[in-house]
Amino acid sequence: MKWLCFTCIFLCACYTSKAQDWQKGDSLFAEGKYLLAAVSFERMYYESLDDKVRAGNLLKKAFCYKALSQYDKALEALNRIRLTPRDSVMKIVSYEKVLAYYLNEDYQASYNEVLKNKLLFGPKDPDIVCFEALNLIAVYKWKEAERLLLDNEELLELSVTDIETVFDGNKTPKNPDKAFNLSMFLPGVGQMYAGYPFKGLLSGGIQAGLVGASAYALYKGYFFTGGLTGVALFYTFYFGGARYARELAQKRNEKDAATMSLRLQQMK
Amino acid sequence: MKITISLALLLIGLVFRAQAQTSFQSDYGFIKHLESISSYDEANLFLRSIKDNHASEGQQDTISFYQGKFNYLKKNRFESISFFKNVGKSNLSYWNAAKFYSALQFAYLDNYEAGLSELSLVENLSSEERELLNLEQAGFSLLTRNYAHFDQISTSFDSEFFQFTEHQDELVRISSVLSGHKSKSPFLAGLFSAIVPGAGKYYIGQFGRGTMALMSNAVFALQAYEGYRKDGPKSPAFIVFGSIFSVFYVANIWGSVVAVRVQEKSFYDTQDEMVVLHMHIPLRLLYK
Repeated sequence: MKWLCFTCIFLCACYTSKAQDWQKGDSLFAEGKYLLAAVSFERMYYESLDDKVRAGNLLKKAFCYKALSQYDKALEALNRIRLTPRDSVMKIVSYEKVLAYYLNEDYQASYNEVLKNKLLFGPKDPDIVCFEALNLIAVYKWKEAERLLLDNEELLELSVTDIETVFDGNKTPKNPDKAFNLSMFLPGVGQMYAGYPFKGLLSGGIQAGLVGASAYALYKGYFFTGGLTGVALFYTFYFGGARYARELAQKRNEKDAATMSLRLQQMK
Repeated sequence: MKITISLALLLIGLVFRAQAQTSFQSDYGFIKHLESISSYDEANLFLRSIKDNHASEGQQDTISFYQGKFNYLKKNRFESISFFKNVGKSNLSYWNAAKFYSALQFAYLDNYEAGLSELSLVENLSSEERELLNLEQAGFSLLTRNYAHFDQISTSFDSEFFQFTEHQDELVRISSVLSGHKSKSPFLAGLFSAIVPGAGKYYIGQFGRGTMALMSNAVFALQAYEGYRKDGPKSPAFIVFGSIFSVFYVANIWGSVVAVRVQEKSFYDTQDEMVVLHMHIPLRLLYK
């Protein structure tokens, strides 16, 4: 009879241990097995009927994907959370969405989430204000970002000097179309406007040289050689230079925004 | 006493089996849930981890089928085929679906013989599955350019199955496009380009490229002529521009020959893609 009891206990233990394999999300997460942990949290979400428990599991699943730097999947999990908007968990969810969109480089969506967060939970969360500024910097609205930081300097514990250091006198992004048009007007000027004076001089110099060489060839009576080769090469360099000026302006803006973001992140 | 113990053990065995069944049903429900939220990577990981927990043939077949299906949905074609191969006949609907899916994967991999061989293994088909088989075989006939076989199959297309009719009609249309297609000659394209640079491209309908070829050859020819006229045949201008013209002239002839081959390949590739698409959609509609 004892043997029978032991058998029963053994079999039950076998069964229950298997059933609990998918209830170990937290320990899997702690071990760094993030994908397995994500599946585990999804399983717990699937098996639960309580909205709060389900929300908690989806939030933890989002943490797993955040740890794997798969922000789009983290967002998928966060966007499936269904709780009343003013629930305390939703404040964490909203913050995580702001962060995940930002890390996923979807700055407009992150900014929209910031606005929703401020509407629901008030405008005085320093982390959210900081993300609002980071998003504005990322979409090249630098004047607005500076104004926001100045309006919230006490909340963020930043001085006016700190804020000025972030922007370093640079409040207006370069306009790529303006760079293109400037180079069309006078080759090389667009590159100079974008903040690359040597590239501008080189581009302008090459094009002036081509015009000169073509004119010299025409003067010497080489009409086909001077006219066709000179015009073809000048045409290529002229439009190519203007397009390059546009790219350089975009590159400069990206570089400046990255520098500003880094400075602000280091201060916070 | 022995009888009591045996009965008790039998009872425990039955309870355990029932529990295992319940556990599998729960796992199966979770697999369907992961499928519904399109989490195929998670589903694959989950299936891999539960494979050893469920030993019965039916359960193993279900797991293999879903591993194949999720890999198919992730476009991991070779992995998908290898999982579908493990699906046994414990459940014929899984068996047949696995064969249809495998055949489709082989169609995507241009291995038509293997695809047809998979289709030959289906059994006890429903009337809808029979019509699907007809359509898939018709698709393979087009892919292998066996138009006579296609005509033979297409006459038995049944218009009763509304989800297939559009795709059946499309296959018939593609068949007429393929059988009516007149191939361009690479030799003629090269010859035309040798007579007038760019003419080979005009011959195959590439008017923009033909004009560009004509203009670039004319420019280099004029420059070579200018060098020859002004400075003589040994002048650097004539040698440089004459050489550039020669290279462009020969390259243009060869380019016209290659363009015909590329255009032909592109035509057949486009039609094949369309065929596979119209083999694919009905399959998804039937096994959604």
